[in-house]
Amino acid sequence: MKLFSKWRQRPRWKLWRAFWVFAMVLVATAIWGFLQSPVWLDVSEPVVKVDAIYALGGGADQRPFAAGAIYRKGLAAKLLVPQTLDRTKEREGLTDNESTRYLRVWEEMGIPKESTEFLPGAVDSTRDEARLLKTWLEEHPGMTVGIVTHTWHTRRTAMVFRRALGAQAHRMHVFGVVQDGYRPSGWWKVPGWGQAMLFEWLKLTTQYFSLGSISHSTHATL
Amino acid sequence: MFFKKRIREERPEPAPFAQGGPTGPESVSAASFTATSAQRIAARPAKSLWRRGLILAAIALFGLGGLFHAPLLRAVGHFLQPSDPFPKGDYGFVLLDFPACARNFDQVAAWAGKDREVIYLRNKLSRLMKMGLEKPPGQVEIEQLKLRGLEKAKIWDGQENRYLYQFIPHFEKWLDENPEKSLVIVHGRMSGRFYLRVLSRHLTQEHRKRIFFCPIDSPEFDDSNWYRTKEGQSAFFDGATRVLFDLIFGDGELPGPDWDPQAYEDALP
Repeated sequence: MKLFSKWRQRPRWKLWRAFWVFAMVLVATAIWGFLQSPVWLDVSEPVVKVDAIYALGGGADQRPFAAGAIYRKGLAAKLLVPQTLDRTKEREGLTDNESTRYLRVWEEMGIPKESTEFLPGAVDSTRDEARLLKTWLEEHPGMTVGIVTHTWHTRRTAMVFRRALGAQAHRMHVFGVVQDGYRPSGWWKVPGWGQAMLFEWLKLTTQYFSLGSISHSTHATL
Repeated sequence: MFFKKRIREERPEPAPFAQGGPTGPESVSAASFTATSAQRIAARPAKSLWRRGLILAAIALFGLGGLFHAPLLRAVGHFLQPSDPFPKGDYGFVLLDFPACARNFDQVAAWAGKDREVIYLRNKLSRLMKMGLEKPPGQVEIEQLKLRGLEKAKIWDGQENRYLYQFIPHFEKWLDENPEKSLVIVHGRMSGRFYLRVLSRHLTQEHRKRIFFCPIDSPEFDDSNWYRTKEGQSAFFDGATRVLFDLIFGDGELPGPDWDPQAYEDALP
């Protein structure tokens, strides 16, 4: 209170000047922080030997390939894929479900069908995927899992899965894979990248504050 | 100190208590207290009233925003969806960010009839498409339109093109070859404003005059309820940030090379 009253005693123009300096520093820090996003959002771990690889939905051009590569190197014995929710295009038979495409990639890579497992659940978000993995880990005690996702999704993925798995979180690792077209310098000048990063920040922020509702998800049928 | 002095100067002197009456704050009568408060309020500096006014205005603004959020959000969403009446002469259609579903194919078929051209812009193939594990862009759309009797449905193959501005030569060629025709851009809701900006920047005035915009509903949301669905919110965010990006960087720069799965596998321990 003493400090506050001291501030109040200052001339008004000094207060305004302090406010604007603070605001400008805040904006500059936000911009600088945003430009550092790919580094800050990437908390992926080096690939280590695990029992299974869980390839998250939403990146059929990279994630199943990375998961398949880890399997082929002998660093995992099983590949898991969540069943993603069918959108209208899929319901009307105009295209295949994304999970089916993952399985097809693995087939193409020569991975035997017995080594792949389809987790049914019609997932629509990372939270749903975390719930599916939680159930799988409960059914397979002692097994470890490597989660494959894009590098700048790893921070959010780690947060969501850690909260969902609770005491079992030590059994997971998060492996990152780079998306096509990424350039480390000036990535924000490439159409689509700035938006993608902003969207990731938005999701990270909203999920950070609302993760308590993880059990309220309506899509995952376990 | 200067500030402190000014405050002291602006503050009115407290009114004296009634003569002959009891003294001390505990014994102030209701009548004298009311009179003192009224005097104080009357003497309150203008800046304090300003501050109060601002707070009240902010509360009113929030209240109105809460009450009328639906029309406000609809108006904001509407900004991203340019919509023109169909041109008077002959015209063809270009599908951009087209939400593929049976209802929309029927709609386009009804608009185009049997004789109008419907064009789909095919950009760079993805890894899965190159491997033949997924149909190339536009194949489903053209198949569905042909099933509905649109024999003139076709693809502009952009090969390695990724962005709309890279298709400008295709637009120019078509508009030059069909000088009496216009083009109607059938676009997904929330993406039209971005396309309008790109085409307006790259096409000549003459060509631009022959471009018209027509939004089409997504199966998951429409103009009136986009903010209630996850898909609608995503589309809005995407459309708004694309316009923002366009305002800051224009066409932007080209992306880096594609990720190499073989190099990834080789680098594993």
